Amino acid sequence: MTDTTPILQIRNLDVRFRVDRKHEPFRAVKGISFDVPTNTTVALVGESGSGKSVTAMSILKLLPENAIVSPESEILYAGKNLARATLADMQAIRGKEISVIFQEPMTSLNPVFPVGEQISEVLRTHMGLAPRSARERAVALLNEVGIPNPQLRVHSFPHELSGGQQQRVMIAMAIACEPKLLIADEPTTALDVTIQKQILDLIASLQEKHQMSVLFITHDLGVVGDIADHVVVMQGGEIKEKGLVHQIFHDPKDPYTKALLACRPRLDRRPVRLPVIEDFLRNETGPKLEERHRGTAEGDAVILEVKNLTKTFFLKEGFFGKRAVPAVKDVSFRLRKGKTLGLVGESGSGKTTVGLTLMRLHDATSGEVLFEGKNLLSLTDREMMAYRRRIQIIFQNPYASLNPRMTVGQILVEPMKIHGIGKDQRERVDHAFSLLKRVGLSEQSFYKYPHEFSGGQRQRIAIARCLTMKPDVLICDESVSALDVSVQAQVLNLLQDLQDEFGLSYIFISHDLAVVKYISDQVMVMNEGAVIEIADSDEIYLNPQQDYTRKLLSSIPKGLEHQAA
Amino acid sequence: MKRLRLAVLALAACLAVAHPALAAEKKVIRMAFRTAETGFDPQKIFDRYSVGICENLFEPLLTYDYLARPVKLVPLVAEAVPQPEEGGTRYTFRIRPGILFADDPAFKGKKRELTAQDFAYSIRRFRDPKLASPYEWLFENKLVGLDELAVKAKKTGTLDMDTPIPGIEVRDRYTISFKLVEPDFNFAYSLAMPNVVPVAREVVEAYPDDTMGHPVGTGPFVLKEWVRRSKIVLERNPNHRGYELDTRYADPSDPWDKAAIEALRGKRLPVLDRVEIYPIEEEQPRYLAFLNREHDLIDETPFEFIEQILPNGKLAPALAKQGVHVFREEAPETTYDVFNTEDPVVGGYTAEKVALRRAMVLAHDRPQEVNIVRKGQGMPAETPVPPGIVGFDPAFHSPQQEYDPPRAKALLDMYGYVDKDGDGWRDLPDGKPFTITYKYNARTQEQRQIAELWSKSMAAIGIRVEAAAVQFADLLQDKRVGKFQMASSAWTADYPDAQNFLQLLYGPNTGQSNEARFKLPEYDKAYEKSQRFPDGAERSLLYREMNRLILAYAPWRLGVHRVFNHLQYPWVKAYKKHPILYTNFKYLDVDVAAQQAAQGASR
Amino acid sequence: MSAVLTENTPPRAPQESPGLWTLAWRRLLQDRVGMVALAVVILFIAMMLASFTGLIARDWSKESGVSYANPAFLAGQENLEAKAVAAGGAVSKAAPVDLSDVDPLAPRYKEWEERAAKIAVTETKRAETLAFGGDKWGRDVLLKVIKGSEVSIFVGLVAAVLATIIGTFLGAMAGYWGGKTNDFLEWFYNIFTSIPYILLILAFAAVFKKGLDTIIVILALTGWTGIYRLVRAEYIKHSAREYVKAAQAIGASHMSRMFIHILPNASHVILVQLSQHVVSFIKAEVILSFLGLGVPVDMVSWGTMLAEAQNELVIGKWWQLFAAGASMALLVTAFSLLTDSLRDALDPKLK
Repeated sequence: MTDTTPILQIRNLDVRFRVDRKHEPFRAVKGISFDVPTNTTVALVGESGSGKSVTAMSILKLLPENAIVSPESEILYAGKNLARATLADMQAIRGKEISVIFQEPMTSLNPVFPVGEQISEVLRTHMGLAPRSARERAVALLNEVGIPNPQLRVHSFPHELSGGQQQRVMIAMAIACEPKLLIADEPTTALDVTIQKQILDLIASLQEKHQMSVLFITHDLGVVGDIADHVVVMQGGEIKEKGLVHQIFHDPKDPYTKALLACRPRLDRRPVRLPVIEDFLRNETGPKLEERHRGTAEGDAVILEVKNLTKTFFLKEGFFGKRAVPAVKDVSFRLRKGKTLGLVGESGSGKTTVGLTLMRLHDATSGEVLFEGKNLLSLTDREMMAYRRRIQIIFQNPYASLNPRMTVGQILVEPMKIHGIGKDQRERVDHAFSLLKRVGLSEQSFYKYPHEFSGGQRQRIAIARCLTMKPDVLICDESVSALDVSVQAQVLNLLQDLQDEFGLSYIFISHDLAVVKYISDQVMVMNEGAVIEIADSDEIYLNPQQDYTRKLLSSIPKGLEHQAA
Repeated sequence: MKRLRLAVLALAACLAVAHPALAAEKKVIRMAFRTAETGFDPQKIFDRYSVGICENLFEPLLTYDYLARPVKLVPLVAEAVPQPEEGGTRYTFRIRPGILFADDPAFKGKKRELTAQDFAYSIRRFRDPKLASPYEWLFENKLVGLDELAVKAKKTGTLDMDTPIPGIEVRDRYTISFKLVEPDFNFAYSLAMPNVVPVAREVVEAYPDDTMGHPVGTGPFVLKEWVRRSKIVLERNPNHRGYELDTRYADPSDPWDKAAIEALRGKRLPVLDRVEIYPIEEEQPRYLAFLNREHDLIDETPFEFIEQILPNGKLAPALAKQGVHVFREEAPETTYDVFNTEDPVVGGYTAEKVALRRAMVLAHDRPQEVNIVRKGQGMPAETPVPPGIVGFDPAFHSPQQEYDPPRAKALLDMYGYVDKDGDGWRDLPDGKPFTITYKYNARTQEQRQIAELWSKSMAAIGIRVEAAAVQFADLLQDKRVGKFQMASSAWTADYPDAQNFLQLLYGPNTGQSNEARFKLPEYDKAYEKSQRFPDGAERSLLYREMNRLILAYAPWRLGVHRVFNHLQYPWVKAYKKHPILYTNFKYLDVDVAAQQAAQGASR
Repeated sequence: MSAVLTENTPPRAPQESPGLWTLAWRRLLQDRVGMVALAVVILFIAMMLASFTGLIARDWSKESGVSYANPAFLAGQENLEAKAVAAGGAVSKAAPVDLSDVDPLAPRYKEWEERAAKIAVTETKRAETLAFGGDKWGRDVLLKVIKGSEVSIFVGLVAAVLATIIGTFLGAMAGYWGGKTNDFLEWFYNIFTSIPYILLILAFAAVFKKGLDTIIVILALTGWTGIYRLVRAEYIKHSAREYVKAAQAIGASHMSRMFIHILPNASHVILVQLSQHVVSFIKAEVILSFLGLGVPVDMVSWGTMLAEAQNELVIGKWWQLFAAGASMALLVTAFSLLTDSLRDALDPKLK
């Protein structure tokens, strides 16, 4: 790394948001300073609410109307203070000198124009290219970002491309004008793990090739190891620690950084419980924890057996036509009592459909789901009622899975009413209070609405709701994927505690292989609706039998392990 | 080059076609009718607006002189007004030769001359059960042999149009003679009615389902365009023979007569090329169309605006400055509300039933009707017969229909119409609550106000009247078949004799013009007897008797004889409102230059 | 788990946490335009209720003034109409005709006269001017406006509620069940909306008897379509949401999912639609009455007042038109502004 003058210098950046007339503006970024050196990648890491995105957006002046950037703030780029730049100045810089890629490629691309057209437009406006040469350049760019058949693909509309390809197009647009600085705002969060790996590699290679700087914003420390040279860790609008990536990983100074590193499940370790931030804040070094043993034995009781489960969706085509889309193909497995079965696969692999179908939230096309010897799929709705409460599900998005118009109390009491649990209202309310306490929420929560809680707390509410029904099997459908790493650790610990306490059996669906490895006794790998491999978790990670499994495992960001190793 | 020349020629041709009007200014009159028409089959229609259009499309044997007042019968297609023969039971007509029907495809390209046979056919049509003519009564118990045909037709469903009957005798191509069952000295009047007119049998049979839309007659105009309920366009009939205005009976001291004679001197009638009529039921738009000079004249100016037009009885200065003329007409017509005498609540002839109707008549606030709804433009009717009609009795007066709520209440109390269930409304003598439904024409504010007046007048004595607005055509139909309890009505003279009004309550006319379905033997006897006398003391006595019976049994609540104000712009020439005929287009002229100047100025 | 169950009794709602409705209400409180609009609407509804219960405008139909009595502030203006009424029509001076020989009532003539004499008549003096002028019968226009608000607002509110119920129910059905139910309802909707609105109203008006209930039914039956579409869209959106799936997972029935879980989440849309329809139905009542299809003659509504007033304006009696028009404009404007504010306040950004 040759450190000359940094391309971007941020000094005392302070951003506040006006909420309403009565309240003091909310301070999102609290006077931070850091540099982005030339020709390097700086990772800005932080959990939700850390102010990392606000920082990135203030560089390009893309903040919402109600944001106030304090006058002392300086964002120095090529000798200019962008914090004071006029709109015209900014327009000349945006896209040409500094460009951005966002998290959601689909919403960032205009659905009514071919992608080639959208890239050429950038070239025509910023580079003043003639239409024909702009077109040629667009093809070259698509080629560069690894889109196959770029000659044809320039005519494609965004919806005709996969999520990864869309993100590639976004990157092509971002680098079209050879920017000096690329801001990548969580560019891989919405993508599958294998795709994520490819995109990260692409960004890294482009950075090298074009000699540009990258400001890479992410919540995932794991990603950082693969790509960044420098790391800036933010929390609550402040910088907790900054330094070279090697130093951050090996010798974190700040307890928060330490906690972030520690609370993410790792492929090489499986402590009894995951360390959480509070542990580090109390104790600088963090707790020393024993390893937990995972795995199944032939003798373990089977609580749920799925045999040849198949689910086919029918899409309408034209007036009368129907097209069969198989989502789950002939899936069989056994869930053992008190154990966790991890279900991994990329999006579209059918893992979520398996969960929903065996609960009869979708109608199965064929197959059997044996629960205590009864085939759930052949029961009438009325007969199913008795079993319904015994298999429960926790969804991915804690923001969407709780009815925003019901108080937590109502949410918890409702299932008890439906299933006649508890003698009367009072007993149900009492039960709800005890469960709230059990999942680590205050009793006050009973009277609050979901929007007053953070994501992790909401997921606790969702768990409490399942517990009201005293289920035997809990399906966790990407239940921790949307949570920040530190919160994720807390929820995983909670799930583990509950399993230990109540002997619950889990089907744990996730795309995050590290998490699955941490929590599962057995892992089932799915691809395109079919089971690829099923084995005890240590076995599958150490000794994968199938190519697909190997490919999946190799795409896990190794940053942490590499650096740690 | 060649192509260019062709294009020039084509353009010239287009211009020539597009502007035929440039050659000669067309004389056009535009006006509104206050109610929509129903159609133009003269034997089928009932309302005066449709009949008014038929006046221009067809020609009866006789008509009324345009200018003569009191009205005078004059020959039209007949050569002379006949004298009654055989004690008032025979009337013979000679038709002028050479009168042509308007052209129609049904005539297969030939000119079609009017003959006596056409009259025979058309009069028989009144009794055709398929037509269900509302004017069937005109020829009931009238022409020898016709009733028998009608009885037969009731069974077979169609009337025999061919077998000769003694009552209608076609003597030769141009001579027709009618033999009456009983003497009737008013018979000639019925032959001047604008719906007792000849239609051509070929035409009727060519359009059996659409006779209403296919009027073909010998009149001065033809129906050029008809957009139902919104536009009627008449144009001059090229086959019409034309004639000059007859000035023999004019009153030389009358300014209207003088102006008409002056305007039409030496001209062949009709003078107008085209008449456009727009049915506009709402009063304000109709009035504004006149004020804005979109229309050249307005007949029967809405009462609402009377204080604008004639403040304190004089033409408003703004209108006077424009030279607008007002023709004030005490119309030979009567408004009334009909009770359905067959209705279980308001009908019946017993004292108890009669008491209810009489009380309602007494409690109806007629002074408000005259002064507020009609804006003083009407005189309270004492009998059905309006002034200006032969048989009008100026000395007839009775307090039985003067506004007197205490007497109404006393009467209701006496006959047991008291509030028994304590809901604030009176109940029937047997204790049942009742509500009377009053049907009226939905479209006019005037009618709505009459309905409102009923409702509140009756509420004041504790009787609940619900007003139901219905379309005019439905109202006519409902009244004809007796599907109502109480409904609004009005009658304008078909001919200037009291008989025309008194027949409205003649029992056998039930289902036609007797909307009340009133059947009182004393009344019917008196009516039948009255027909046998010419005008005179004996007949007047019978008329008085009938009027007393109407008062006593109250099948109607009598309203007013309305006074109408007709307005014309100064470019409308030779205007005079006729009391019997509804339109006067064939006598009108228009000063096109003045008309266009004024209308151009207002646009 | 029983160990935890027996633990301490929970504290009973020390303070209710603000729900979405409470928050919406708070946001509305901050919106000054919205509050003024709300105040106006409440005032009108209070006026309507007061009139309905007979507290005010009870004797609106009393003819207390002369025909077209001038408003008090125009006392000096000449009233030609009233003068003409005062002059009155000619009354026949002829001697009364004797009916006694033909009259079925003749036998009790004497009793009749006696009874009639006992019924007193009180002649009230008609005022030359009224506070805000009189109509043609001499009724107070101000009282008429108040009484008219009863019909107009009642019709608007009830019809809007009915239309909303129909639209919501059908929309919920179509959106929630999808498939054949949706196809059928969409087909029904398409047919319904392909008929011109006024024609539909006229068709319904021709079928039903005339009256207030009919207007309400007509408006409700013709006005549900817009609500249906929006609610359907909401249901399609929500029934795919995870909280609905979660409700299904806990065993909540279809009805419970449709109306307990999804409905409150679509309620902001429905509420805004409701108030929007109140506005359009108040206007529709006016149009219906204007066309003569509206309220019966013995009732008064703003619509009938405007219909009457169209002729009056030409003769210079503008006050009835002004009173009814201004009241309606005020209420409709207030209601529209309130709708806007409600939309802002209810917008669930918090989710």
